[in-house]
Amino acid sequence: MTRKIILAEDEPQIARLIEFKLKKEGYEVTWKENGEEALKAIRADKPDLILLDVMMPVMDGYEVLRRLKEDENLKSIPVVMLTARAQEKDVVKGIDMGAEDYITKPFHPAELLARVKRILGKSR
Amino acid sequence: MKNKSTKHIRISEHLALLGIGLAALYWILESAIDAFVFQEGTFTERIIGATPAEIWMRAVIMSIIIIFAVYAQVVITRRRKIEETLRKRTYDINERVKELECLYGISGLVEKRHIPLSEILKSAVDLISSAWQYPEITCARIIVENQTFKTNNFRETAWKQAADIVVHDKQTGTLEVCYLEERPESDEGPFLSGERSLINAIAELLGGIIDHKKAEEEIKNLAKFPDENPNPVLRVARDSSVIYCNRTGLPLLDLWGSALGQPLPDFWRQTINDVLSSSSNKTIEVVLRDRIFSFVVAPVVGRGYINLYGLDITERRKAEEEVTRVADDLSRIIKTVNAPIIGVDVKGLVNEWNQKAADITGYSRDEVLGHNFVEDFIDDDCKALLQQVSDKALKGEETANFEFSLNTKDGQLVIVLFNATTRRDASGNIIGVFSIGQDISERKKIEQMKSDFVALASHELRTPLTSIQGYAELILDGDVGEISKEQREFLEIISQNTQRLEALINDVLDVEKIESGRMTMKMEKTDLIQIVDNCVNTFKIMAENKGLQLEKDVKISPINVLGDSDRLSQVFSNLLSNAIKYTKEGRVKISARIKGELASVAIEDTGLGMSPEDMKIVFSRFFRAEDSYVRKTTGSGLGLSIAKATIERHNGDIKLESKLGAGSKFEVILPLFKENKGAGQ
Repeated sequence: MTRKIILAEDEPQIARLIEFKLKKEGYEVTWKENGEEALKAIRADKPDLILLDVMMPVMDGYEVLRRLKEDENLKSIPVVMLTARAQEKDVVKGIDMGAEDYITKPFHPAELLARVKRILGKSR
Repeated sequence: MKNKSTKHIRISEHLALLGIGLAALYWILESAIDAFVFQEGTFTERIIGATPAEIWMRAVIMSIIIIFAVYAQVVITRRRKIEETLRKRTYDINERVKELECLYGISGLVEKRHIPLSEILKSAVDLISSAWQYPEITCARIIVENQTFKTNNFRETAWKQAADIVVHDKQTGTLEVCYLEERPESDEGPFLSGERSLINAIAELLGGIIDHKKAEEEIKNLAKFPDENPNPVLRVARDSSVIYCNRTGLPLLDLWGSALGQPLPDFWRQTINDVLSSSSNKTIEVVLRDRIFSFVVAPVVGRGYINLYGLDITERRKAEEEVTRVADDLSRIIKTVNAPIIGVDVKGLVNEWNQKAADITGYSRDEVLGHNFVEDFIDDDCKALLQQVSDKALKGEETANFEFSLNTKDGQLVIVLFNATTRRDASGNIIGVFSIGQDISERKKIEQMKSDFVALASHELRTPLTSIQGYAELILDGDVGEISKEQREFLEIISQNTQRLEALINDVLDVEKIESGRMTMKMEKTDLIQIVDNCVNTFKIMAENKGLQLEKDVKISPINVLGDSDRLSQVFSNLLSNAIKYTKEGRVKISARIKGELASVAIEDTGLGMSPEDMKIVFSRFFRAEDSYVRKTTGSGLGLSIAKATIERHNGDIKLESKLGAGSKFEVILPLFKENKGAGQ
């Protein structure tokens, strides 16, 4: 069964990069440009994993994460945060709010793939 | 005199003997007459055969002769006695005369007024010997207040008499008399009891002289007093004519065109009349050429004259003018300086509020003076801090560069950086606090902007970097098909440089965090050995690729400190990567030790080393070694300054030993974790 991943990322080129790498590995990737749209898609599709950029217009990653964790149907979906490095407190905040993992930008595509595989392998 | 009395005695003796001789002659003549004129038998027969009248006659004559002889003897004895007494009296009188001569001589010295005390004592000591029994072997010494006066022949011997010289019940000196040779024992050693009295008398006399002379000198000094006074002192009569003027006053008289006996200039007259009629002092100022004098004009009641006590106040006046000028300058500076100045008294009420303070707060000086500063103008958050600073300043402790927010009239907050100093009056009593500030609202805004900018820029830089890095790797990973060897090589160059750029951005962000004080540390019990192990594992390959040996020297484990393991890891990684980077050949060694209360991790290399000049600035930002080899190596130049700041935040230190061409040793010192402190503090 194809694993479904929803990617929320406002930078199209980075989104395309991630999409390409994951699709090549056989994952089904849906890309959304902002948090609000991503939330809609998550509610509609119930993906196996969510890749959530922190800094996004309309609704930022933390807000999406907070809403997901409030929703009984969605709270069990693993979330990987994509952060611009450095701010440890951002990382801590994300983990504290229930994110499964985090990846700092810039990242190695292979590393991102490995982490996704690990999480999806675990929850299978 | 002695010889005369002896002659008297001899004459009386001769008279007595003459009497006896005449009696004996009479007896012989009478007997011869008997024998040859009367021719009546032998001498014996004639005695027995003598007539009673003859026997009576002779007995009477014999008796007369005997009586005469006895009388003569009695007369002689009595005369001798009288002569002896006389002789003794004469001797005693002589002695007394000697003593009196001595005492009189000493007293006489005092009569001569102009002779100083030392001269008197010098002369007195020479007068003493002659009054003693054996003047030729007598010497004397006077010691008064550490000054010694002695006869030329003075020598201290065992035959000594001494007496204290006492002035006002206080021993001020001693008088000593010595015999230079032994003399037969008398009343007091070889001395006579009279000599004891004499030495005491002389000592007493000397005491009196010293007392007298001192008093005399005091009076003399006192008399010199007005003349030595550096201030002018004058006495003038009712008509303002000068009766007396001390030495300092004379030039003034000249300038006034006056002199002793002449009247003072007209301007004095009014003042003199005033003080005479009011009988009270008056002070006037007199300017004479470039000097200013203040004169106290004091009438001497009942005598009809006036004393003028002058005081040259030129310097004082200049100083006063200087003080006034400085005070004026200061108040002008306070008024116009482009920094808020706020003063409060000991009760905290505002007593200084300059224009700048008014400008930044919107409250005018008048609105603020007399108000409680802390209560009325300080933001609640800052009240406690400011009260503390103010209390400290009122105890004399100054605080520099403390920041607080002031409430402005229109409800804004301005952030001000202040220095508080203690304000004291002329006698040094604390009278308040004086604060000079700086409106740093703008600076704060700029700092915030800079910090925001750095954060934003680094984020904005990161996005394209993520793309470059990601796509390059995508191709490198072979995700888009096979690539040639050269394509791979060039893509790797792109990848390496994006990594380098990323490291630089991260370092810049760290520096910004350190500067703005936003570098957060997660302090917990951390094992340094574990960090060292991880670092060694990470850098093993890098070292091996360069053909370097990476040694680990750890003899004790764990070594716990209180710290942020990620940050410490960053520090050791930085030091290790530097060591490897700057070492062409040889080894890099990392060692961990416990040194007393401290943990020590040292990273040693056999690399380029540093000059003493470089060692001084190696921890400063963007420091890069001036070496062609190093130029080829990469790095932001921020690593060591971040490492140093990080370790300092851990209450530790980084020490550096280095020698150009021989290698460097960076030693990180951290306080050991104390179990009882507990983690997370």
